Amino acid sequence: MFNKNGIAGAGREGIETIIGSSVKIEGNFVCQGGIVIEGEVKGTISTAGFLEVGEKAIVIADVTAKEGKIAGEVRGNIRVEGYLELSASAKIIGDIEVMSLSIARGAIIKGKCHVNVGDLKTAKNSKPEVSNDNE
Amino acid sequence: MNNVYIYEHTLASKRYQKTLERLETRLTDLGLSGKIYRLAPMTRVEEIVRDEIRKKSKTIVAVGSDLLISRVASLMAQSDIPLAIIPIGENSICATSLGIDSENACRILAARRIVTLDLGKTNTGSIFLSQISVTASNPVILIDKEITARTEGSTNIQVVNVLPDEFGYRGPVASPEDGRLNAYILKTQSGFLKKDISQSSFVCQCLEFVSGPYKAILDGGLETAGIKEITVLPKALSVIVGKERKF
Repeated sequence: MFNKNGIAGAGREGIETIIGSSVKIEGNFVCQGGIVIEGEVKGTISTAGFLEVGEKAIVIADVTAKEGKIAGEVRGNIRVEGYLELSASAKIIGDIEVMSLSIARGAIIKGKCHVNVGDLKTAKNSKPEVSNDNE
Repeated sequence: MNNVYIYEHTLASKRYQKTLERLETRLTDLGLSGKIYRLAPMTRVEEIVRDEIRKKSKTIVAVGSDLLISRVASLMAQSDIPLAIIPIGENSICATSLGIDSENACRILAARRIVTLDLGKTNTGSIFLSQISVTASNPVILIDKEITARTEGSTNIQVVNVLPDEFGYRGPVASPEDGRLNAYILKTQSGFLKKDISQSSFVCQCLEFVSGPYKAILDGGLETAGIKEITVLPKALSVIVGKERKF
């Protein structure tokens, strides 16, 4: 589950970057802390912390994170080492690779979904235990 | 080697006479008395600070508001001599950020808790201790030469080295010891009741205004123009701080 760093609101510990709803970003994000996206991002995102994508956010990027919570739109492949939560408003167009996943009713996934693949560092060379195409 | 005190010119006003008398008595009691420079409105503080750095004074103490504190701090960048602060007058953001208040400033000076802090620097050579504020229309900002951020309309960009808690921006608390600056991009609702409708927060070493240059306001309200780039000067200033500091 999300740890304390994944609680929305001001003053959160572990947050390194917040992309507000009025901001459009292009580039390659690499950071150690958490990222909260409420605006638009194009490029790539890689964080050793958590990623939170807000309901109105649009992310056109391949994403790597330790944990994640997605309520907005992501166009790109998502790789999460731990737990990923997809809210009812989430729309994913791309493949998902994750250790643990919850999908709320109404969430849309267009792509392959690999869950509980064991060591994600070697996942690319191994067969997924669960594969789910939901288009 | 002695302490050197630089009094801001505004302290010549009668309203500060008793405050300064109390201050000087307290400093004498603590064995901290030293040479005092009482600035006049047109006195150039640059020569005083450079001269005292050359003479290797024990401490240079800025006595007054953020305007003087920031000016002295910028002149002392990269020197080995510690800056001390005695805030008098309007609320000092710089002093509060460093855990210093006017009541305890002498005790803090006596304790000599010295830390080495980062400073912020602009392309025009201006240096700030606490923050710089830029208001721009449709700004395009390059962060760490890697990430481009765009907003539409009037936007306020605050680049912070250190700030007191009460500013309460979302995101990480700025630390003047991490070798990075915090950039807050604030979109404000127009009209009479202005309120923040969106805030973004980045931690970076360099911020470039691709759409600039712009005017900016530095610590203490000093206006400056031609701001195109803001960078961090890591570990650039030794400062005597209070233990109530928040970093």
